[in-house]
Amino acid sequence: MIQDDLDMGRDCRWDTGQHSRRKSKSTSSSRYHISPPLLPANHSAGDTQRVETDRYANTGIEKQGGTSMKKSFHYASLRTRTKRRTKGSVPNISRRRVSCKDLGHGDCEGWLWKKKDAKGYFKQKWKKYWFVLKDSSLYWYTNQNDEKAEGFISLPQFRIDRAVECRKKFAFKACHPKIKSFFFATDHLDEMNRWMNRLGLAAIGYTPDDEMPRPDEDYWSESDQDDNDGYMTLKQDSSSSLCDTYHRIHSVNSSSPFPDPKHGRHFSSDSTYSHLSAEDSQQNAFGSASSSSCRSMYCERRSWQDLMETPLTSSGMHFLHTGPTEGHEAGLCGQAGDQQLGMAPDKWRQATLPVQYRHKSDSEGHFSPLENEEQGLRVPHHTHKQRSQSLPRNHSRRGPKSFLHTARPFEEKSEDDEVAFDVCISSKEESQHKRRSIDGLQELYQTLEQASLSAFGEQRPFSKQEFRRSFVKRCNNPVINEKLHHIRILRSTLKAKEGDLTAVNQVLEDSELTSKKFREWKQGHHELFLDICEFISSTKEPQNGEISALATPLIAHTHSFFETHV
Amino acid sequence: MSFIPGQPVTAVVQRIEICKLRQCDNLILGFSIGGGIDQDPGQNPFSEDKTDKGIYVTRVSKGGPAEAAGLMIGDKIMQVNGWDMTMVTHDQARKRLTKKNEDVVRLLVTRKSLEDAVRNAMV
Repeated sequence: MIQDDLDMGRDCRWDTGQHSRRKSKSTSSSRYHISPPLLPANHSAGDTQRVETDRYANTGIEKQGGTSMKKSFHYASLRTRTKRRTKGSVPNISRRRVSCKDLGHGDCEGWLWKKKDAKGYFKQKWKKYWFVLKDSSLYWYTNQNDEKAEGFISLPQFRIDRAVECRKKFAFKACHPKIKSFFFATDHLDEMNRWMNRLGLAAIGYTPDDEMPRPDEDYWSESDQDDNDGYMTLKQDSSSSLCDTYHRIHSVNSSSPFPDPKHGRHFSSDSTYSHLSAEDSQQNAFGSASSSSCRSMYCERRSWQDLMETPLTSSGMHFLHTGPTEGHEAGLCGQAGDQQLGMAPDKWRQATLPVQYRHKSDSEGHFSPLENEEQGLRVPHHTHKQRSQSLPRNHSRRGPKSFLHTARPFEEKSEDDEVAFDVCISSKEESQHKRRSIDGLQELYQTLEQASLSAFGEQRPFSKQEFRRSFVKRCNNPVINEKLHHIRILRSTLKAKEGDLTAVNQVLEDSELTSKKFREWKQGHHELFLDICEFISSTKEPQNGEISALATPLIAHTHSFFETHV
Repeated sequence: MSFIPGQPVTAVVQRIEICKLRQCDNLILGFSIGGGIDQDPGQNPFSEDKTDKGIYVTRVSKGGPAEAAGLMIGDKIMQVNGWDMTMVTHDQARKRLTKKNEDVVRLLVTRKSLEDAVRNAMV
């Protein structure tokens, strides 16, 4: 029986983990005060709860009290899954996986220019796509036979406006205050007017049903995202996903654009479960279930949508753990329900979290899947000690989390991204140190924070995305930018000089150099030759002899005469 | 055919219209150009005045569209589709001639034989 429960607990661990993590996420650093000395008490509480677990097996206590502790074990594995999810394949693809033909005739369709996201710093390209406006969603395809949309946006959250900032004459944009703007352009004025009209209508003409932005839906999705691996995507979008998350949380709970203490409190009450006794947590659990009934409603939607839309790929399976359906709620939530067998319906509804709640966790640390596996595997051996073992982790985990929470908004504002960069690195470093020094982690973390220590020397920047982001940010800082340019110039000069050197060596090291060979070489490296002549004439001017006499007529030929076939 | 910088150029010109030939993705004209203000005019074998930095036809491929249109080796290109070619860089000239969206280029060219013919006719 105990074993069963434990298994069950392990099965639900992930969702519960998400559950409590979502809450603790919103509490920011309020949880920080719990220090290791509290552990023994919790340990004993855990033991007693072990027994209670049996009793309350079907009420989700295990979930509330016990598993929120265990979550740290699965925390990492969660992250990979989340990652996968954010990468998008699951919801994004499912939203976009509509072939152009299946979509049929939209309300409005045609070829439009769409501005590509700047991949390089200087590159901003327009590309033509086939656009289809269907209800309130705008899809675009590279051509009309495409099986999958190149991208899509759900218009109700967007504002349509002319894009005067674009160089295209008939450009317009779809702006989302929190996510990003999309730029479109047409070749003709009337076409633009037509599209703006249609899109504008779609953007405001939503049904009451859609009035509340459904948190489970993606606002947009694009192929560009898929280009990178999920991890990178996340890094790239982490700031936007943060906003995103805030936005969505509050679209559910309140209309305030930023988390305020009150709402923090709302969540923090939830998040203290893990440290309450079982009875308390039971009460609280039900309390929260009712208080967040609207949330769970959305979550339910999520799980529905998951079921319908999740392609049965490995990534989908990972997330939902499809198993033999037990007829839970007429099998509708069979997949989700299966792992949460024996929980109160509200609970498992809550347990299937909308994806955006998990966004945050991705940006918190960086684990290789290997590590995750390792962690996951370790769980069964520690089932008895879980409580005591997981608490410090759980606790220490909050360190980087809260740190990042405070750091991220700052990062968005700050000109100098080094700080933010350090944050990422230190949190990474930290997570690596985590296993070695469970209790010293907080110490380490605080030290790092105080010293605002850069781990550059020890830790190489980990993703291309990170590099790119830091590059873009640096470019905003004129001083650094200038230095960067200078470095770049020096570097390319060095490269060019090295090339010249090899070219010169070709001649110098050729023992059987003939005049014909030299002439050929001279033609091939004309500019270099001129440079050399110039250099010689300038340096040897005072004692100039036959060389400058030879060089002068050559310099006179400043240009070659090219021929181009057209 | 020499000219004074800053003064209008007087030259006998011939209108030549070349329809570009499509070869795979490329539109070809079938001739080569040399010269331009960034080139060494002294090395131009076709110019009379060795300071002339104009664009010259240095080669005409056999059976190409340019040959069919009557372009000859050594012709000096004065205009391409109305654009001046007497004060352009080599690359600018190339770009004018190889516009992807233009199937036809209209050239104004001048050559010594033309001038001679006109002079003879006037005499």
